[in-house]
Amino acid sequence: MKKILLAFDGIHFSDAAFDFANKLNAMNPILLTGVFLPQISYANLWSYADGMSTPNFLPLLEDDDMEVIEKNVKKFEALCVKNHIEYRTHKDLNDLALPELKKESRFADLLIIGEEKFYENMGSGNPNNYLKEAIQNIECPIIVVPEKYNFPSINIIAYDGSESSVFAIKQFVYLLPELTKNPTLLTYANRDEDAVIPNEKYIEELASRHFTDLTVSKLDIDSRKYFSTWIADRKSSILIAGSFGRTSFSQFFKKSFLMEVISEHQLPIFISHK
Amino acid sequence: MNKIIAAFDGLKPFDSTSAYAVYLSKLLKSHLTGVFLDDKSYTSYKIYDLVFDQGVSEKKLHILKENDNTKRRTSANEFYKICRENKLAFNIHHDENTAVSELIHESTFADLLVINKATSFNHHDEKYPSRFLQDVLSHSNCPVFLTPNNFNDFQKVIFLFDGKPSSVYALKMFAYLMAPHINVPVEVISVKPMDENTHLPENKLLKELMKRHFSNIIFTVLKGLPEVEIIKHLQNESLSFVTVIGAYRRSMMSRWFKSSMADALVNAFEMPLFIAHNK
Repeated sequence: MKKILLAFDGIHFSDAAFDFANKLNAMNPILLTGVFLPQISYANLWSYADGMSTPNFLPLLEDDDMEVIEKNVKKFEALCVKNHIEYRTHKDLNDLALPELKKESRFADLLIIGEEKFYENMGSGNPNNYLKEAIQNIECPIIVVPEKYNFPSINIIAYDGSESSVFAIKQFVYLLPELTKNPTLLTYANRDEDAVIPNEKYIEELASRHFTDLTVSKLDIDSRKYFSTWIADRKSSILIAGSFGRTSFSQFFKKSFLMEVISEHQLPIFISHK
Repeated sequence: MNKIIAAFDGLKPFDSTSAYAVYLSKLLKSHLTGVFLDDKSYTSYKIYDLVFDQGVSEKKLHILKENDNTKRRTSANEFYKICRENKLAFNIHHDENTAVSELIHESTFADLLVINKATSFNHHDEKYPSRFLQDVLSHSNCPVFLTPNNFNDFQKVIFLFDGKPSSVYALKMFAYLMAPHINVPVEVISVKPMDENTHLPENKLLKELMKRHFSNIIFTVLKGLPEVEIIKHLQNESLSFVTVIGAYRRSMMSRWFKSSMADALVNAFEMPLFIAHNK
């Protein structure tokens, strides 16, 4: 049995994130903890100053919002009861959102976030800065769920040979063994046609223990097209990726073609980093 | 199905490593990989052994090398036999480069690493923890199951909790790998300074998590110095146990290992340790 966090910021409620948790519960009962965070967060106070990404004004938590939050809590509880999910609610409304979420995540197996809803009013860009910052600091694996999605029946692993990408694979199989029987594609993306999959023997030895239906493939320069078609045929996939050190992490989010694929095809993504 | 790797020094293999590896593979229904670290720069003889009156003897070098090779082959064969007898899914890797880096590389692609506490890759007897072991423990990319010299199956799990992220991480890793396959009591031990109250740190959150993975849990809060109090407490333990501890990044790791908990435990008890760290 797993303890799964569902994080909601202030006034937003992500139906997709709840739906994902609900489907997981149907496969294997979970404890679902709804974490209700304040809508405002002096985002960068807790880590480093970054003038560019701080919004110009911070909306205050007003009485109207309190009502909406209470309504969301009620909605969450009602949905849990209706779907027979064991649940808890944590209202951490008086602290800074992200440090609180960091602590909650330390004591949880998995965190589910609804992508568009998470701090949706705090800046545009896909994915937004809050999401990025949350992902970097959270202490358990995260599933980011877009609002329109299909529950995954296929796993796609983004493997780049790094320790972190292997770490993500391991975390995925420990946490969601129910999904390991699905067809799985382990892809290595490299624009260089001559490049070989790093440590192919090793990664196969590990991955084939865990995934019953595994295909290993390398995507070279033409593969963007191939990958897109491949995904287009299999809409209901989940992408498994390790998120890396800060530099390569931002690269991953800025340039990676996988990110393009995610925003284009609206895939749920499983991110885990050391 | 998990993948467990067991690390061996072919020249000085420990029976308890293969015993634990086989036991864990059966328990967790895992694939077992025997990693034989045949580091070329490491031999059982010393350069000094080669020297005689007229310089260095080629013939003697050849004989000594052959001896080492035979020893390594014998250890690998022994492992092969044990795995066959126990009907395990297994394979063997021979890694000929520097032992530390080969093992860390192997650990990236494994779910659990089993290794004996006295593994040193050294001629002389090095006191625990050897430099080799320190390197492996602080850089391993999967949890490490550190075995004592004698095999004991474990009847209890001791979880050392200090409220830090790494101790919770170790708990999670232990739960993911082991919890579905074992049904033994779990004791969570925390130590607090004398002048503080006896509340468990992060009581509510910890219990919420623990209860999802284990059913038979007791929580113990001690007061005083961790190294002293935990050892004292565990000396009264009649069941054989495995201790789960989180070691941290490098600097913390050295602290753990200088005067610390893991050391004290390894020296005080002939019991295995499960060590996981998340950086």
